[in-house]
Amino acid sequence: MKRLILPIFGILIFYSEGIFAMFSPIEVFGDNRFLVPRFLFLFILFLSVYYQSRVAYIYGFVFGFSYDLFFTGVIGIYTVLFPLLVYIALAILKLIHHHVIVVGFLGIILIAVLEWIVYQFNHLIGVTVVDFSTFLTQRLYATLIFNSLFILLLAYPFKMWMTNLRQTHLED
Amino acid sequence: MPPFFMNKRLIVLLLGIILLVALIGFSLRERENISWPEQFAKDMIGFGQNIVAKPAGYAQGLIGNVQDLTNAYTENQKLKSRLDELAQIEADVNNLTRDNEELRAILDIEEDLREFHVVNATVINGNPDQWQELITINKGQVNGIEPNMAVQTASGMIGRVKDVSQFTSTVELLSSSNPNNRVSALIQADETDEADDVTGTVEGYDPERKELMVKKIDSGEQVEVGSKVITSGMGGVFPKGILIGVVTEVSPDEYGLTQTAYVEPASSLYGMEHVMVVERIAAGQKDIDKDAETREAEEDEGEEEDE
Repeated sequence: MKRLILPIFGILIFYSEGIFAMFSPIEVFGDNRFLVPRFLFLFILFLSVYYQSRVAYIYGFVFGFSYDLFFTGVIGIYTVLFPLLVYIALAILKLIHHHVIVVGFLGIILIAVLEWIVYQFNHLIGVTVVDFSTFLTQRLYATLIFNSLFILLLAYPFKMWMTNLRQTHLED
Repeated sequence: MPPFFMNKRLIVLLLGIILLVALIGFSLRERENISWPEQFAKDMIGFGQNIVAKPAGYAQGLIGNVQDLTNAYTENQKLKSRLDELAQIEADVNNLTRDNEELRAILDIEEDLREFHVVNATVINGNPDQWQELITINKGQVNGIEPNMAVQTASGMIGRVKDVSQFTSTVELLSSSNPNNRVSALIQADETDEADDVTGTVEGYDPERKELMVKKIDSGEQVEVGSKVITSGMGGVFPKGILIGVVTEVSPDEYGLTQTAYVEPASSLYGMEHVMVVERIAAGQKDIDKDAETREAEEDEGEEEDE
């Protein structure tokens, strides 16, 4: 049961993204604001820092693949981006201190990078025609604020929970 | 082997890029429906999503109910004023339906592009990254849904079925900028006379105006602001007469050869909970082709037997 709790939590977060997406966009200050939930990515990022990086890569690949298959229908984007961004995060964290606030900020920055790459890709294949400034005002700012709320609420509980889990799993 | 290839990380990276490009190419190519492994995986994931979406749907319904309560009084007033007209309209509709049936019987017309039946479905999730305007519904091939069917809500058309697996299907909304996402449309200049209808295709969406664009309207045609836009039932599997929206502005295109009409969608394209997938009863071109093929095959068999 203890082994299963992480995958089950991951699956629940995966499904919750699809449901959150049904409430977006919302209209704020006279324009549509798209709130893109990136909870799954944040979960995987925290796993890589506070649990085991190997597990995080596997989760990134498997959930990224499911994400592509089920939600976007273009296989390959998130399958590669999730593990890649985890790799970048770990490389950066080798250089700086692992405080939970630092990890939270890093999460926000990496979400911005993720959004930008996905925007460029969709622009390239002609799925979207919006220009960069519209992308910033309609999507990026709102998305970053939305995900910061998630980090504010859950970063510390995640840290405690995952470090605990790691210790109990190492003792087994 | 040179040391360049000994670097394990580099090989993983290179293989990853090749895999990425191959997979993207595979999923972006033109195709009728997704392949069976994709269908299978979608069904597996969709099964869980279906379960998770239920309590979320209840919560959403509850919030909706509270909002309805606050609007109840004004809504009641409005409905009361409409109620008086309703009896008259109902009588008219009955009369017209009977009339229509009789006239059809006289003319011997069996098939009607307007006739359709609907499959009711619930939206179980949106697309979280929200670039492609996709939603997933909880009905699939087993419920008789096929690719390219029209999808509507009670107030109007919202999109078409993009791909289908056994138990779920993905719907592409009209607001998508996908160039393949086209709907043949009719602009009703005068609601009583069909001869005045103007044809065009719904092509693309203006994200800043939040309106659909009906392009390729002949520049000689007069399109008035406020005219209704419906599906034409031409080419494909859509029935005729599903409301798409109302014209808000007409402007000539850059070369002045055709006009573009901006259309406000009749149904909100966001936040819908229940949708209807529309199946036309009249045979489409594909069914006719299939019939012809089977007939030919039967004839071939017959010939072989003769020999």
